[in-house]
Amino acid sequence: MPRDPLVRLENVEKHFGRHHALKSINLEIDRGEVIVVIGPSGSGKSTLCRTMNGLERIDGGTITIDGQPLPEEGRALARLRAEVGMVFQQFNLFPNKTVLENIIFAPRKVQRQSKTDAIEKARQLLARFGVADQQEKFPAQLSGGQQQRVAIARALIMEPKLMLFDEATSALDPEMVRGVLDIMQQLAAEGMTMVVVTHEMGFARASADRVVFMDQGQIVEIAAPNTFFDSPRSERANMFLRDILRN
Amino acid sequence: MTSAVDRMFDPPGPRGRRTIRLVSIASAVVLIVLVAALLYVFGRSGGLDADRWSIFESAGVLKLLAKALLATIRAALAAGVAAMVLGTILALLRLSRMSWIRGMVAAYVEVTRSLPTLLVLYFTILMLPNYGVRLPVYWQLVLALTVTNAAMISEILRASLLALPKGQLEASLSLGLTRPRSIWYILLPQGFRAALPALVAQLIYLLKGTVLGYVISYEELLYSSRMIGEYTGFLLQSFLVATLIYLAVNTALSLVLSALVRRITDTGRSNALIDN
Ligand SMILES: Nc1ncnc2c1ncn2[C@@H]1O[C@H](COP(=O)(O)OP(=O)(O)O)[C@@H](O)[C@H]1O
Ligand SMILES: [Mg+2]
Repeated sequence: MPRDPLVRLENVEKHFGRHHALKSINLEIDRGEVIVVIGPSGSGKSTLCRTMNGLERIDGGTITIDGQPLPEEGRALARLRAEVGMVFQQFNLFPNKTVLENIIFAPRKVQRQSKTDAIEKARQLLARFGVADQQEKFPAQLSGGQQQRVAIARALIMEPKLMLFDEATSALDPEMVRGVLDIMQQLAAEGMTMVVVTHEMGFARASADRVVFMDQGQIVEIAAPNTFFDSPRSERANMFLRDILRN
Repeated sequence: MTSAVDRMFDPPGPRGRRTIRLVSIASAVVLIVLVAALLYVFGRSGGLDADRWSIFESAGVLKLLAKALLATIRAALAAGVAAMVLGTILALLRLSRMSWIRGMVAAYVEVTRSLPTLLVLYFTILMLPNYGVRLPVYWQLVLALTVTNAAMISEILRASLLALPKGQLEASLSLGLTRPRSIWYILLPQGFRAALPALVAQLIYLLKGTVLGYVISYEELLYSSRMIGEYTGFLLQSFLVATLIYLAVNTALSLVLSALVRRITDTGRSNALIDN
């Protein structure tokens, strides 16, 4: 049977001026698969993540999502993005909207859902993520962990087929990390297709199907999490793991 | 609700509080003495005599002043709305991804904002008739004020839009909104809020610019005050009344605008200084 991956990257290239940020990236992500992307700072993890919803335009190769080539611009790209959720390190909630308004914004404006429907779904998500009592507050009145949970709810309400997490817990105080990782683990268990840039090895071991190790714009190694963390093949991965274990 | 200043500095301790109290009392005393002295000198030369002010009890003069105030407000209102709309459009065009649009708008803004409004007014008087356009004086004034102030407003707004965190646009794009809609729904409200103090200052400046109406005999507040003063011989009194009216109108304008924009773009925090 031919494979039918949700995401396919073929020979993807990306330059920032003279800097070669992604070098001939090849990767296929199956439906329901959870990919953890790991690697040193500046290795291109965020860039890789951001090419998959067109926040970075690639200058070589192809990206196919659900059988369709990733549109380059305009309404077609916007439609694709509505089906790909993204969670940022800095949350990026809209500061002048309440929690509830943040979440129903895209369903209302993009999917033209009725207000009652959108609010109903938003309430369910907020309740599930333990922030139901925060819905009338503004983002600045929430803790970092609460803000990130709201940001995840804001992406999930669109019922995306792919979720991208770019260091979603890196800006959080240590005591807030657990709550956010729990939600991500739940999503993974429910079969969401996810690309997760993170250094949380616990999450990777528990939820990842494969770990992608990047260095200097290249994918150096792809392996099952336990294989990768216990016996990495490449010297670069070895060094990187030794470094993060020391800290 | 604590003010921005309170949040920028540590709260004062007991000694600090004593100093603040002393300085406050001292400044109040100085201010009162100063005002009293000014009034005394002014009054000694007869400036406060009732008969010099009684002209402002005459129905004719009051009506004239009211008409003039209305003329000022009408011109400022029309030009203010037009300049805000045009300024916003210009600011948005300068965010365009097409460089020739950005360049043309930048050139237009650079030219119009360096021109004195008076000069633009002269151009409208002298040039428009050549093209067969004959505007009433009211529209000539509104046009000149709009052209120069729109350029300033677009610069103010552009600066505050560019200062917004880049993640705001990315978040909106990621949710499936197109770039124009993201700018409209997400960036513009935040940009307006951040630019609020500068925008209010610019609109007050615009309102004061209505005095240029005198070159085209548009009978706004200052023009009529001078007429009243020259006719009655009490020029200084007329200008003092005009001053009070300008003060009242501008204070009201700034309070109303601030309240309005705060309300539209509430963030649950008490001031814009700490918003981003
Ligand atoms: N918008 C940009 N402009 C220029 N260089 C960039 C830009 N974004 C990323 N880079 C560069 O590309 C490289 C990879 O960045 P990134 O993908 O953010 O790495 P990571 O997420 O792994 O830390 C870095 O060297 C970074 O400086
Ligand atoms: Mg990164």
